[in-house]
Amino acid sequence: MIGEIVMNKKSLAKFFKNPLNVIGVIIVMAIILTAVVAPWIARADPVAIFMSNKLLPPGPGHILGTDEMGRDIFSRIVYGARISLQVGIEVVASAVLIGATLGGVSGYFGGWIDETIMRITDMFLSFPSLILAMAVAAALGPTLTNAVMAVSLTWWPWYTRLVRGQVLALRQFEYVEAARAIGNRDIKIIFKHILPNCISPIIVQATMDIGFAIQLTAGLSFIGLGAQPPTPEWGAMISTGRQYLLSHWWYPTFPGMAILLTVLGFNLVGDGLRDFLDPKMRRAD
Amino acid sequence: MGTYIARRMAMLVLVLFGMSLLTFIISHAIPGDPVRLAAGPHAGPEQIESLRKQLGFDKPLPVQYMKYMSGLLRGDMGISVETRRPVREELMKYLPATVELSIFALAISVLLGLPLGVLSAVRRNSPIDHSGRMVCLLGASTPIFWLGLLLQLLFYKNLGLLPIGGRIGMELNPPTQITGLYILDSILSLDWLALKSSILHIILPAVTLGYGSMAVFTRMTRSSILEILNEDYIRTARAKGLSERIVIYKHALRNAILPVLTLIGLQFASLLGGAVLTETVFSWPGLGNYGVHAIMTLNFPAIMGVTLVITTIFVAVNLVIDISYAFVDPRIVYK
Repeated sequence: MIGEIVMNKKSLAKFFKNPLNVIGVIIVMAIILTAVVAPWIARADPVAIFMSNKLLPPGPGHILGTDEMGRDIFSRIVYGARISLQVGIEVVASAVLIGATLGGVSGYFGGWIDETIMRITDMFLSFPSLILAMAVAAALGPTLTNAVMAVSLTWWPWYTRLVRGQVLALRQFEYVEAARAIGNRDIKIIFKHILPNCISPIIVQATMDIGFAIQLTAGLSFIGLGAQPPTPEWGAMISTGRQYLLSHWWYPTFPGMAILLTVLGFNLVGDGLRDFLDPKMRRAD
Repeated sequence: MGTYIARRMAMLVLVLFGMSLLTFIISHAIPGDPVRLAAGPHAGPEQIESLRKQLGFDKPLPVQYMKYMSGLLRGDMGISVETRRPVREELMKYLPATVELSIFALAISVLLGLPLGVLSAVRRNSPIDHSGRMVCLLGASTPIFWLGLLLQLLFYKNLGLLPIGGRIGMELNPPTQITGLYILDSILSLDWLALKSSILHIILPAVTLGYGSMAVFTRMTRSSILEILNEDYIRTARAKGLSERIVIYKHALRNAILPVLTLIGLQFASLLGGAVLTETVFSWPGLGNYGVHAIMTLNFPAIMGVTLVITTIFVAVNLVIDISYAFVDPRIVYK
């Protein structure tokens, strides 16, 4: 059946046969672990200022160097993992929540409800996402929370489309008909019988989107619309570090690598999950 | 077909209307007083009030919106709060730079992405295919603004080969304005020094902006060709004894190219969005840079102008692509 997850030992072994999936899982696990045990890995305070240590190159003591306030870049990147993971999960969770609800309602009821929801969805999809997020983030004011809200606002339509398509297919199934016949309410049918069966394409999409959401939010921080210094957010670090690019290359370089690795990790895992859960469901890009 | 186009046009109008309403609401929700900012730190209360009246900010919001919309229909996008010049005039000044950058980025991504995709498909599971996949994965994962910085570090600082930013060397005058695209203009006005300088200046930003799209083209071309190589008519062509080269380049590629074509439109549109970050990194004097500056200075009319122009291009390009798709592929019927 569509969207069924079978996670037995045999299929897990198949998933781990692809080296890229293994690399992806290792990267993601490492980032989660880093975020969890940050204070133990990073001994230096990520925000305390030590002007006497400013802009030291990578070396013993500060393996990734220090920034213009003498803060240890490695510590800041490690603590930044907490922020980035939180950002990615918040964006995707709210997008899934809004998107799945609207998509479920739209696909289940059809008719004018479907038409209205889908036209609004189309409209949101016709805005270039970065531009929309920029406009919203600017309106709300430059903080990380606002950037997260702005990015979420551009993200839900993808899930509305995805879930609606699934629901249209699931609606035909006899068990849904049966659930209706025994007198279940529509809301219950949608949330209890239909949406749980759409879960696997949502998981695939959400895994990849965590990485992309981190990337887009970092982009907002880079142009000054997200996290503000001295928050150890990766995009904001690159934004400040940019002024020191030519004289102190390590400053903007390492936070960027952290973003690259994180996005790559979630991408690899998402890609692997997609081939594994539903080989037929491949998005064009 | 006629009704389909009409429906899409109606949708276009609706989207633009929605965008104008949304940006209007958003830009008026921006905390802070733009008039105070525009009047400068030394302006007294009377000066601020008179400027507020002059810019029309003293009227209620619905009235301001009606006024804005009726102006928009006449092609008037309001007055920039910062420079007091018509927004339309300023957008026209910055638009060509963004268009030039996006065209180059698109050209780079197609010219590199298609061959790499074909090679990856033909030599499936070879080292070429694997490195192609790595290039794609990195393309999707690399933050565009960071890639720009790394390229500046490498090609400007370490190798000294390419300039760090801007559209043309400081020592040169921009070519005579004909289209606003420096490279085209310098060819048209036979200004070879300007041509050389503007080509050197566009390479890094175009590569930065185009890399992500290149990855998309590679992946799409590869999977499209692989799918087609399984078709019966390919087996027939091979069975006839045609050389592998003819089978791939004459039979498979032609049919595989169609889905890739649609992607060009979508990618061009997303390049316009990505241009914002690229322009910021390379001080490229385009719409994105102008838009970011407008946000920082709370310049409402300019913010709305930039969003509207980019959205219009985005929606229009997609419309044109969808319609041309139907002409290229006779099997597609729009209802």
